[in-house]
Amino acid sequence: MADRGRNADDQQLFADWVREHGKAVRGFLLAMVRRPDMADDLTQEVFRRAWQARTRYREQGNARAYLLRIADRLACDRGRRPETTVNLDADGWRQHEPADPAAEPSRAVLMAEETERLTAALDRLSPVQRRVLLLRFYGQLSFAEIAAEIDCPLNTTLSHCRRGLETLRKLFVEKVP
Amino acid sequence: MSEDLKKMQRSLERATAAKDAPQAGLDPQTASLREAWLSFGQLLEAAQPATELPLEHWTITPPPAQKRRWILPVAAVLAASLLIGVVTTWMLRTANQPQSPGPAPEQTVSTSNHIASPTREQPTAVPAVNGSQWDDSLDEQLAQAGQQVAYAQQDQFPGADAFGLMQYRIEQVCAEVQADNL
Repeated sequence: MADRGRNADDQQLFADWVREHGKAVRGFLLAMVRRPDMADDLTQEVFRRAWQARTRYREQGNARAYLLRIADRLACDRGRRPETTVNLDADGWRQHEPADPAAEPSRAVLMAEETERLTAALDRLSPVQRRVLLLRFYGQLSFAEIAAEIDCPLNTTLSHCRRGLETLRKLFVEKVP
Repeated sequence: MSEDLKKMQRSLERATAAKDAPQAGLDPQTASLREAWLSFGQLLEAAQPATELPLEHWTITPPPAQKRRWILPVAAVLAASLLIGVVTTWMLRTANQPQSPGPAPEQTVSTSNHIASPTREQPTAVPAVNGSQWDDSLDEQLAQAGQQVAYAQQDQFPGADAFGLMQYRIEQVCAEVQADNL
């Protein structure tokens, strides 16, 4: 009886996590791996692992930080693994993706421009700067928490953040090409 | 933490605060960093899919490992019981068996004679060296006396130490299995 009640609580907790943090986790992973299909797979994997280790979470507190930590480790693991998949080029995707009848051409152009700017920004950041800024943006983690996650001293983490922000400033504020 | 580091941390915390956080009172350097941060955030939000993710349709199934969690303790208890049974049986058999004496000296001599003999006669046909026969009951008596001397020296059942240690370890394993520490 108690088990059934706890299971229902767990399911409710899991549903809340997905509803509240699913988009943030997916956004973080998309910015890390830059592939929507892989980001979707990893998002599911994050929630699967979070579900398996939910008893550990109860001792920690902040759900989004907990989920983003799992996401960060998964993305880093995926980055270290040799590529075993074959990427389609743009023409290949166009052939396989169904056309969206609701999409307006102007909106599509705007999206493409924004995606291009984001890609350029992420390319300019070093991997560790990217991790620091994305963990800060999506999880609102404190710098001490980020330092613990990326396994760096606090002052190094702050330096990474500052250099990353300066790179973004050159790109977005000073418009340096 | 040094004062400079604290200052930099405060500045970066304000520059990278959530977009609805108050921005008043920022120094020009922090304000420009914040502007870059907000632009970056806008792009990240724009890259999110417009429609909701199909996350609501995910089904929650307990992982297989949880379904079969009872297997490990049961297997451990069975293995421990089996081990206890085997070890006890072996020890009881060892304790009840009389120690087998080595071959009699006369027989050894006669065997070596037999090997050296070019005619390869049957062993039963070889006579004793001095004509006296080896008494088997004497062998048994010697073995029993040796065993009793060994028991007296140990002052307990032979192998009891090893058995007690093994039983103690098995009890430890059982306790850990029951405590679910494995």
